[in-house]
Amino acid sequence: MVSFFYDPFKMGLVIVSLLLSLGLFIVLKKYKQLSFKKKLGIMYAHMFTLIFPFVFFALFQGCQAMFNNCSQLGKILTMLGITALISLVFGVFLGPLIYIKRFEKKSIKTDNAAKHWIHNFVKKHAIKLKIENPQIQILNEAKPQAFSIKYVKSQIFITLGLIDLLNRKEIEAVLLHELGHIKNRSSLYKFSVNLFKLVSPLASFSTFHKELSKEEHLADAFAIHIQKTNKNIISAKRKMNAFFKFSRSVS
Amino acid sequence: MKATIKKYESILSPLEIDVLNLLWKKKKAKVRDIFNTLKSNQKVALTSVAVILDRLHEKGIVGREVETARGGLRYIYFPLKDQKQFERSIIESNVDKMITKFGKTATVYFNERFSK
Repeated sequence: MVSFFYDPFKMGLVIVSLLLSLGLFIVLKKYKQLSFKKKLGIMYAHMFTLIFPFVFFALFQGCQAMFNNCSQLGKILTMLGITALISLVFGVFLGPLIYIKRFEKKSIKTDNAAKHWIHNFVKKHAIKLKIENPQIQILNEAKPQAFSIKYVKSQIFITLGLIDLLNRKEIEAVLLHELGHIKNRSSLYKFSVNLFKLVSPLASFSTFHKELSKEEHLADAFAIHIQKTNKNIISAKRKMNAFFKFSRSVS
Repeated sequence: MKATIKKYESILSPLEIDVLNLLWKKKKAKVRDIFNTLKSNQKVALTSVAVILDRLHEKGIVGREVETARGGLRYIYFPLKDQKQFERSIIESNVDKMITKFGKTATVYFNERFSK
């Protein structure tokens, strides 16, 4: 362990990685007008360069048992490759998969006929929007919630509590709101911001909450545009907020 | 109704008691059924009824199942115990608490009390 910290090359690598991470965060904070793809790229690069020193250090300890002479550049580069691969597997594949599976476990297994009008409604509007028809998952949960995820395929999750509480027009407004998120690809952005908050200690200095609230407004605007009224989305949100407010007051 | 409220008020909130009383009467009900019955007698919101049913479910007092109907899916709530069984479970848990708290003194007291 001591040899790792006294090796200027390895420590240099760690410091460069952390400085790069800080630099990327500054870019993200300073240039708010960057495109969606660029923002996501920088966000993930920031997280990678932040995690890298820790993974590199942990793997390097294992490397001493694997190789005879770990200080050689070629072997360090091998470690870099392995680190990148592990980060990629966890950050891009396993992370979102675990996130989705957590909700899929709660999904009510039923034939599509039971949720036919929801399916038909979403399908009709997905065709109009020229987006992939999202899969509908109804969660066995009394708290009224709805969200969408786009990972390999698009999915809209709504709870049974939401169906119990809202009328048909309000449920349609919520579904349109989620379709708006899928069209704007904001579910990937929301997932990435949540991952960013989990990984980066600098997250508290970011202004992503403003951007997330902008995404929410855009999704609301989409529902209002299709329904030609803001009545349903407003009353749906009012009911959902009232549920959580009353729930907090009695607990 | 008032006597029931007094009996359970240390364990349940007034709205929880009203909802539970209705479930005992109806045996099975949807959130909206309970809401529609309650709103004719008192000022109550649908969201409050939904919260109360969820809380009673979390407390293990009511159960719920998913019903597949023509209009879609919905929760059906039902009481897990009838009124007598519920009252018995309250007495049991209170007696257990007393015994845990006061040990032998409590058991001696109960023996004396019930042997009279």
